[in-house]
This record gives sequence, C-alpha cells and structure tokens, in this order.
Amino acid sequence: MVHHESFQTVKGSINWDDPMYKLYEKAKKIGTWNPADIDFSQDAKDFQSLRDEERITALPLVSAFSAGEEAVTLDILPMMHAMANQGRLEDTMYLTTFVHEEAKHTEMFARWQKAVGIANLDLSVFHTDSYKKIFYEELPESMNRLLTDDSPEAVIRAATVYNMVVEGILAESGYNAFREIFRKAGLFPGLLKGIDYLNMDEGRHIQFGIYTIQRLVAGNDENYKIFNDYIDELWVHAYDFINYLTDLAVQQEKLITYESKVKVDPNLLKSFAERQYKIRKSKIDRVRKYESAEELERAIQ
Amino acid sequence: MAKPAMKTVFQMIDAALKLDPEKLEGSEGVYQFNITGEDSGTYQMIIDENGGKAIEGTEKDPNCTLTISDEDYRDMLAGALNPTEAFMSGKLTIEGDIGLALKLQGILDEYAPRV
Repeated sequence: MVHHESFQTVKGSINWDDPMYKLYEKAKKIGTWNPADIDFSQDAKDFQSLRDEERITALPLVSAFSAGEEAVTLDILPMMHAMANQGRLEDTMYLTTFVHEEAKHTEMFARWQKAVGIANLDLSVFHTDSYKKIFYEELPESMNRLLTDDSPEAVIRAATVYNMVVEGILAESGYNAFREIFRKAGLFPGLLKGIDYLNMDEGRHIQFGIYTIQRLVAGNDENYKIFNDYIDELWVHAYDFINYLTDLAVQQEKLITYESKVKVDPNLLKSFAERQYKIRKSKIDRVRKYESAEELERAIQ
Repeated sequence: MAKPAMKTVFQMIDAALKLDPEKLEGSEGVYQFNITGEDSGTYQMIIDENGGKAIEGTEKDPNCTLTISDEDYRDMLAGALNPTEAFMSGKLTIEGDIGLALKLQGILDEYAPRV
C-alpha cells in the first residue's frame, strides 16, 4: 500500500460490530494491568523457602514462557503490517493493543525472574529441538513472510503457528500447569496473578487468530487444508515438547526425597494440551458450513 | 593430604562404574565434563547397555555437556554440592539433555569417590 485511495472513517465509519473492533474495545477496558504493579515479594520469599530440587520444577516452564513471550513480542509486527496493507482498519486497531500486551507479558516474566533471583541464570538448556523448531524457526519464518506476502496461505500459516499453536496450545497448557503446580502448593501468588492477566489477554489474541483463519477458510477447502496440514505438522513438535516437560517433571520429582508441597501430575499437561489441540481444530472446522467469508461475517455480526 | 589429580578422580569413577554396573540402568547416555580451573580437562562418562566407563578426552558425541570448575566438581563428588544446587547457583552449566543431567545426582551418589 504505497498510496491511500480513500479513508474508511471519512467515507463512512469504523465497523463498530466487527469482531476485531469488539476485541479492541475489550482490550482497552480489560487489558489495563501493569506488570510493574504486581507484588512479587511473597514469590521471592517462597522461592527462598524451597530447596533447589523444588525450585528447579518452575524453571522449564519459566524458560519456555520467557523465550515464548519474547519471541511473540518480536514477531507480531508483520501481522499488523499485513492487516494494515489490506486496509483492515478494525484488525489494525486491535493489533495495536495486541503488540502492547505481548510486551507486558515479556516484562512480567522478566520481573518475576528478577524478583526471585534467577534473572542471570541461563535457562536455554530447557529449549529442546522441538521447542526450537516452533519458536526459533517456524514462528519467525511464518510471521516474517507477511512482510512481503499477505496471501491467504501466508496469513493462515502465520495465525496458525502464532495464535493457534504457540498461544492456543502451548501457552494455555503452560498456564494450566503453573496453576496446577503452584496454586495447589500455595506458592508464588504474584506470578499466578500475572498468569491470570496474561490468560485474559491471550484469550483475545487467540480469538483474533481464530477469526482471521475462519474468514479465509469459510467456503474455501484449499485454505482449510493449509490450516489443517500446518497445525497437524506443528502439533508433532508441540506434543514432543510437552512430552519432554512431563518426562523432566518425573525426573525432577525423583530428586525430591522429602515431603514437598511441589507436586507434578505428568499426565495433566499432556491431556490438557491434547484437548486444546482438538478445540483449536474444531473452532476452524465449524465454519466450513459457510459458503463464503461474507456469509460468516453476516452470521457473526 | 594432597588431593588426587582430576585424571585420577575419573579413573576412580571408571573403576567404580565397572565394578558395580547394575545401578546404572535408566541412566544411559554420554555425559561430557568440561572441567575448568587449575586442574582442567575434558572427560566423558559413557553409560550404555554394556555398563559404564569414564575416560579422559572425548570418545562419543555427548548427550549432555556439563561445564564446572575443578573445585566445584570436587565439592560435588564430596557431597557438599549437588548437581541441582550447582546448576541453580550458576556453578554448573549444562548443554544438551538436562533430563539426563538430572540423573547425575543418583550416579554420583553411587559411584563418586569422596575426594
């Protein structure tokens, strides 16, 4: 888009009923939390009270989230660029909040690491080949493709890896694991509060991805296949990483030879992730009944 | 009493591994130790279906590489520093399969000479 042909708000108005605009309104109202306001002082005391074998239980998840949030912060801009180039005003307006929220998520984990005293610990040892495949390769490649190619295929692939797999499967499963392990143990109230905020933001982000893919898939079997093939391809790596986390949790638990509050259910993460994978697929599958994106839009608005 | 050289320490581990390989089951892999400091060197502990051995230098591609100073490694062998504690305090850096590295604690408990 080198020149503007016209302006939506001059010829008419914002589409106030557009699902993306509604996400923007929600983000303005709900997404106002500030990571700097979260009190991590009890988390720091909790961390100090644990033995090393218990402390290490938190690290693979923190390592995955820290890198994950940083990656999505760095990689989101091409989506905004693509939506703006397509003249999608409501999408672009929503994405301004999306970008800001990703930065806050990165900040939240960095603040927690600093508060508990592990900011300088290199946690990249927890990034397996499967994790790297998704976060070091597929995510930046698919997102950066949007800078020069905003075709339906490119947009579907970007939203699939970013919103459906990274956010919709891995992040959601990670939040659940944090809550299952640390809420039950009565530990890290600040981190859990941050996770609750993150989870609300991510709900909107995932909705953006779902709707972005849905409108390209409605009435288009070829586009549906692009989504379906790609999420299946990525799921192999996502599940492999989740398997690694659960295997590691079993190893870590063996090191705890004393009575500990920190308990990990190795099957929980797996079954939760599997459920997320099926839900993401079903959300896209259900719009195949519509003949076109216009019909879908009429049904939603 | 003078401390045995690091080379001797690994020879002692090698002897212990060969003497009683039964407790190694489930810990199969190649552990590489990059020892830094005055008594620096590279060693591998190789555990496979045939049992275990410790060698100086490198014989196989490692599954996990552990970098630690000679003094901290001696503390680890003496039971004064466990691998998890060493990792958490930044005294031990791990590359590769951390799941395997976590098994090191059990191996050292069984086979490490108290030097």
